[in-house]
Amino acid sequence: MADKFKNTDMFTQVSGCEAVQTADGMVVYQTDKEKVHYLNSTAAIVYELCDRHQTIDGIARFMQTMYELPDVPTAEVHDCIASLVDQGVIETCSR
Amino acid sequence: MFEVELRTVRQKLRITLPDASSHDEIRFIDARPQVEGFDCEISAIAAERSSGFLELRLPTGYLCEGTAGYLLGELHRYHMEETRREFPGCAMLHGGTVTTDEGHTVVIGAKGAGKTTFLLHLAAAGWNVPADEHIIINGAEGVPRPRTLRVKEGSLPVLSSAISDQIRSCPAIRDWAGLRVYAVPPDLFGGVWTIRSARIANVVFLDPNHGGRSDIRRMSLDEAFEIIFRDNVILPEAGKAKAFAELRNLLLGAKLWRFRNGDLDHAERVFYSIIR
Repeated sequence: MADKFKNTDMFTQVSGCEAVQTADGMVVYQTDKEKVHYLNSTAAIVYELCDRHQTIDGIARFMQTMYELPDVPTAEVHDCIASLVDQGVIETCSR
Repeated sequence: MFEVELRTVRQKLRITLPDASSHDEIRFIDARPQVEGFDCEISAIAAERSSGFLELRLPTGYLCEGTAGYLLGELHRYHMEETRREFPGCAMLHGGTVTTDEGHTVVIGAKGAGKTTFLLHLAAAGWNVPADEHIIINGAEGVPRPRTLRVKEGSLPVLSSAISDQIRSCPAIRDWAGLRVYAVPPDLFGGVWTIRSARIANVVFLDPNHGGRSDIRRMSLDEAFEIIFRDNVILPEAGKAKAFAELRNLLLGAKLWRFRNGDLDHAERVFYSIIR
């Protein structure tokens, strides 16, 4: 299945969300929808990086370095980004 | 003198009532636990009769006017609002508490799971059961909300006749179906009623197995998280993400149990096995 986004796409956190770290991840609360999301530690890192003008490719390379992975986890980052977009906590943005 | 004491964690409100009939009804909210580790503000107010109704000005300045039953409802509302004010930004779990040297064990049960009956049984056996309704999540610790145990008339046949007789002597009101609900101070049976802030060592989720065998198993964090967030948590108006995060951290540090609540004596033994 084709990826929903391009490797060069960038994302930003949707405004109006409160995010607080937990010992094992992060809680994101959407104030307008009164909806709570729990992100595991990997998703929490992706969510944080989305607010630092990183592309999918940049996020994947960061994760590779951080977790000392043999390959760049591009597909996994695509899945994670798609899930966060579906949940409404991040959205695409222009450079 | 007809006096009732309303107790929150940080407040003691002495209410003087004009006559025995109003006292009989409003004493349902009376609660006199020992609260340790918190400063307590003591204030006194007096209700008066006026044209057949009662008038009571709360410390907030709000004037309540109506029947004794109406005032009782307003005092319950005041108790909840003051608790929220005393612990801003904190979530509350809907569950009873048993306190031991290890910390608090929070007991959560769906309607009909036998939570209050089980907690009463423990209180009568000498355990410290400071609350059966709410525990405030204050950072990394929990504080039981001071309130008497509320026992429905229908629960009495399950308990021993000695315990039932003691409960029948407690203040009572009637619910919408006309059945009595008793306000039972946990120290009624000779034990202690002490409220303090402590870590939450265990969270126990009750499932009913009326009169049958009791057993217990560990449960996963995700299973517990889901049950709690489905319908067992009251969130603050502001700072919900922080409150959720505190709750998540707290669950991470506690042992989580799923407990089939059967015959009360056996249930107590099983319960003892996890918190000894």
